[in-house]
Amino acid sequence: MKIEEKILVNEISNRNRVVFESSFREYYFILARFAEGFVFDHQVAEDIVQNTFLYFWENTDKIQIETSLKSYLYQSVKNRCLNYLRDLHVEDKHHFLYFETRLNNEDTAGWDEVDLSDRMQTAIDSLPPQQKELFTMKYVHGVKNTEIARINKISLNTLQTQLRRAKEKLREKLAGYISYLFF
Amino acid sequence: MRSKKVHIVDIEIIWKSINGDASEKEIELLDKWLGEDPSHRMYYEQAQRFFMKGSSLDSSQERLDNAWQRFEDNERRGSARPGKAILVAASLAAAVLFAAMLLWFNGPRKNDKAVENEIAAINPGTNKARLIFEDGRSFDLSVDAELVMQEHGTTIKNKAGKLEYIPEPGASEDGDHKPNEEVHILRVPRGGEYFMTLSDGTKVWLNAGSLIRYPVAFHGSERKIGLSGEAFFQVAKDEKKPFLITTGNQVVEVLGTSFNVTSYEEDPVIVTTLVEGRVEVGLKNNPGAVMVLEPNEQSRYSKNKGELSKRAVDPALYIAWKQGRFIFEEETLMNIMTTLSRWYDIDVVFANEGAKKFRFTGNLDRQAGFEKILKKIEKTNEIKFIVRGKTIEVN
Repeated sequence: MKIEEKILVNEISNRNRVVFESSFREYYFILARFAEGFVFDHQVAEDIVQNTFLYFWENTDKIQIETSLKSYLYQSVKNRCLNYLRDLHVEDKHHFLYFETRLNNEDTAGWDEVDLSDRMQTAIDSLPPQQKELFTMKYVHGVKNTEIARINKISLNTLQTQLRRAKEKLREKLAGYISYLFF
Repeated sequence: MRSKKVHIVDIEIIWKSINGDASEKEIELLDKWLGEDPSHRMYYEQAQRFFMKGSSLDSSQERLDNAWQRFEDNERRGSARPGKAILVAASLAAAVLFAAMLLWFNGPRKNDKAVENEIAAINPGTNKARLIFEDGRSFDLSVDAELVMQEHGTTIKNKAGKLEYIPEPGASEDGDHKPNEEVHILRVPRGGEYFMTLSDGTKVWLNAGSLIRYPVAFHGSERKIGLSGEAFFQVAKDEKKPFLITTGNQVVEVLGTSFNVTSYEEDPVIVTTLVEGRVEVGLKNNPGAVMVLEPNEQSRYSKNKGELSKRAVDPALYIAWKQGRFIFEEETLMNIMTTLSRWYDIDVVFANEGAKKFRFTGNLDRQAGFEKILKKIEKTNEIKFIVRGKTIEVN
């Protein structure tokens, strides 16, 4: 865990209300939009985010944050969304909703790893090696663009082009499977 | 005692059904699930709305301040429990209902006046749409919104209520220029319409509640786009590159021609009406079933039966919307109200089931106030409309 994150989490568990409020304000809409991609109703999405923050604030002493505050919040919001779907008898077996929200979100740092369905994995495996590598780093592991470019010694521009091509190829591969996802 | 079987649907089936891609078996399961609980239908409708209109989250500073205020209120009230989201929604609904009842009981004397005022707030559609890029950027388009930008050799321009894609002269696919493979989406909400020109010069008029997906530039041997809702196309001639429109299970292939496609998710049929030229209508799941349309012919694809049929029609009836008219000929009230609800962005409830089948003929102005249209329909038959906000009850 980064030192800034450690300080942040520490301050909140010491009931520093100012720090907590600024975290609330920083993440509220990001999380609400994330939840909306599962529940589709912005009011329900906002309620889920409210409850996540409330639970967190009231149980700071019991909650152990391993990676970062943001990734903890994402994880709890996601779990609450999946519970909401479960109550509605809706399943997301292939992790479409999570993957979709992720593809539509530039800022994927701090996200949980995506569990890919076999079909999705096979489609990704059929990409040319470099595209597969870059796509996986970005959308499966949630590595930042600048970081991916640095590791692979390529320009940001090249990275974006390669990612776009990869998406285009996947769209063809998965055509008719789920058009919303990639068309 | 009767044991109830629980039906579980995968989100994939919901998406497929919204796209019109679900199989008969999947639709059967979906219907059972929908019938299980009203909350299931609500979720489905929200999914549909989200698909058409995207996020409805308002991320203003004011809203954030309110959210924090709400957090502090919740904190004072006690701990958060799982499932509270639903309770809050339910109590909100109860509050709205209570407010509605108060209005109802307090205002019977002024009722006529109130109804008039409420109707005045229902306006015909205007030029509006939302343009969405693959990277998530989006732009609200209207007559006043001016937009000019350059994306890899294509100029995207919005001016005076018209969206245009203009390829850079001499831009080729080879050389250092990377081909632009980006796909954009234009969503027209209920109560809206929009006009656009694709990069090949094809003109598209989009009706209320429609969505079109298209590449910024057409590469390869085909020009492929996706549609949901209603649109009129004037396809630019290019005999080497056929133009393909996918909508639900139907694919329309053309070289250069003008025609209208009506394919709303909630409608049981996909209707394709040819004005001039020639089109081939095919089915995604049945490559053998190809139907050729000549001018003044219309194909109808029944989603339930999976069958494609054709008939001779007067195309003017089906493209009247593009000329700013509603033309109905012996049309059922149910279909008329569906058309009106998209344009005026209203909800319709039939208190009198039988009224759905009443038939009307008329030629109406799309820019007319809603009240005027209702009066015209009321005059011709024993029907009464009750307007409550944006909901119209048919009696």
